Amino acid sequence: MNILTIIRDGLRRRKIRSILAIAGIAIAAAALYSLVALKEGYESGMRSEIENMGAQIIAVAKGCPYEAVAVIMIGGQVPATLPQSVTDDIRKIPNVISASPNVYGAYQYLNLSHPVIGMEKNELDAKPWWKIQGRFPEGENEVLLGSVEAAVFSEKSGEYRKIGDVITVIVSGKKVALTVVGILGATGSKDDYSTFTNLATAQKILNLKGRVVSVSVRVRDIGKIPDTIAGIEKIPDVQAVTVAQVMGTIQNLVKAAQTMLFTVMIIALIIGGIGTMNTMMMSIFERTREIGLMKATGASTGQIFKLFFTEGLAISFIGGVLGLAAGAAASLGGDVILRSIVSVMPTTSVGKISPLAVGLALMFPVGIGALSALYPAVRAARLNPIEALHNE
Amino acid sequence: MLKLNNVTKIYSRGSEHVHAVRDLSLEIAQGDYVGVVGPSGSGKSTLMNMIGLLDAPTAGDVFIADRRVTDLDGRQLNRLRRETIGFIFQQFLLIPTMTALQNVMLPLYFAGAADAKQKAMVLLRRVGLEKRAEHLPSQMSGGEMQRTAIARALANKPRILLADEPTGNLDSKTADDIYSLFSEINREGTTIVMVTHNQDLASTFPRKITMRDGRLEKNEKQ
Ligand SMILES: Nc1ncnc2c1ncn2[C@@H]1O[C@H](COP(=O)(O)OP(=O)(O)OP(=O)(O)O)[C@@H](O)[C@H]1O
Ligand SMILES: [Mg+2]
Repeated sequence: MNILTIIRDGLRRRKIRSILAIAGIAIAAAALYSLVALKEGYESGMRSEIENMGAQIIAVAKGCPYEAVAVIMIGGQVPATLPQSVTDDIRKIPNVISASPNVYGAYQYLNLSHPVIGMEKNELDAKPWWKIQGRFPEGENEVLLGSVEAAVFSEKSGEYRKIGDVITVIVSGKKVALTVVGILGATGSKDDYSTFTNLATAQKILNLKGRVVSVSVRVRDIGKIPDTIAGIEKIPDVQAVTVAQVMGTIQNLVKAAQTMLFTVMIIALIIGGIGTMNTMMMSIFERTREIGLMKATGASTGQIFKLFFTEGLAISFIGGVLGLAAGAAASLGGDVILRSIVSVMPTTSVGKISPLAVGLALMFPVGIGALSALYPAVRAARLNPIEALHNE
Repeated sequence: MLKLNNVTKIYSRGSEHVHAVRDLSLEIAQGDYVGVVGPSGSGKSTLMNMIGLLDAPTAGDVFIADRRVTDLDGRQLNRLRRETIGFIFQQFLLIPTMTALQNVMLPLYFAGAADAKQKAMVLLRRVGLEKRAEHLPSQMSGGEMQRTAIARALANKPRILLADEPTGNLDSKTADDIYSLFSEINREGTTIVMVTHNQDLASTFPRKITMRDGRLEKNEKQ
């Protein structure tokens, strides 16, 4: 018989109490894990989305720049456009490495709306991670499909099987035949769900001849971004925002939804914490007579403390590990819930395993457990054996 | 072996003072078998607790194995209690989540003894419970529980066994079995001090102490 067998048998034979205490810790750990994992996952997802854009500044028509950029990110009706000549004006501004004009819109295919993006070939220089199978759609009515779109089309359309095949889509009520000349390797971003074409084709089918929706700008020196923006905004009717600002705005928009989810989790955390403290304390107070007896049979203060404190740690640890597993599952569910509330979500799941979340979710509840075991364990150890024995 | 010099115990609750034991002097030799009788509230349990080092006297001195208890610090007291005294309670006070064997092993565990399991099995056999070793207290009769408690009290080979109404919760047949177990243990040299309400039984003990109002009313050798 050693301290661990004593604790193990004790926990096993006081099943309900043990389960309650372990469940309390597990709930706290699970809540904390999901909380941190979702927040981390969301932020890192958004960050990688920003990096995928490859540009630091986006120039759009005067109006609401955030609305314009939101359209760029999630698709929808274009609010206002710029003359294409603006691109050349921007290229002349100091600190600008490249300016890529883009047109955004959508076409109907297989009864669904699909985003289409028009771009110049040289924008590929800003996207070194793109792996194109086939080639860039330089010719008229040629397109490059994102990996997911390509997979779905080849499975469902009947007319498209491989590079070189034609898809017949509908844009503003008119039929248009597009030739697939390339497939984009998976990027893990929204590009996988998009269709790309050259600027002229996009302008033609979307009825935006000579116009662009936005110009993505890369700079040489990030520190001089404010000057560059000032330069861009000297061009009439043009407004510029940094990608970071846009992300900040979007994050503010989704905060409300996040806050709601997080509030629920924080409540779970508090309930778990208080529940744990209560169960731990009760389980020691209940055994006051046992403690008196242990003292009468020669247990020292240190031995009693060690016994009860170790028990608290064991409960916390078991609960922490179980909670972690539950939390990992819950944050996958949380990803689904967040997606249904928030329209701007990273393409990757925000519920992926995060070391920070694992660390916190283990340390905090185990800390609560240890703390809530500490006080009653000290009290138990200090108890006068006579009073303890007479305790009912 | 055991000596009390003018021991007084006063319990104070606010302005109320209860003289549980008054100016009591007593000497018990190694191997004695002492019955303690007296009306309820006469201070029997208080006396036992002081002898058992669970409670300190308000005044006077307690000597155990020639050591003045008031001179000892908590650690030394604990050690002396563990090595020289075994306790048996009316309510058995077994740990409900531990088997008979584990209950007997507990004092050995606290004492850091080697071969605790073998020693505990020997003790269980000694009280006739080798077949109940793996039973939980809830799966045993009152007599079996008290036997387990006796085995536990004997675990660290104490020189003094203190029993406060050990048969108070048992029927008379079971009580008789327990008493003969105590007699056997005493014959092997262990000093026993037992509180009992059974006057007839106490009269059969080699020595009988009668308490009244916290005083030693009679101290008879028989
Ligand atoms: N912790 C305590 N606080 C206050 N008074 C106490 C305490 N313990 C005992 N007393 C009082 O001291 C007196 C002696 O009590 P004690 O328990 O020693 O009597 P007893 O002879 O063992 O009685 P019984 O036969 O009923 O067990 C009683 O008046 C009791 O009320
Ligand atoms: Mg009593």
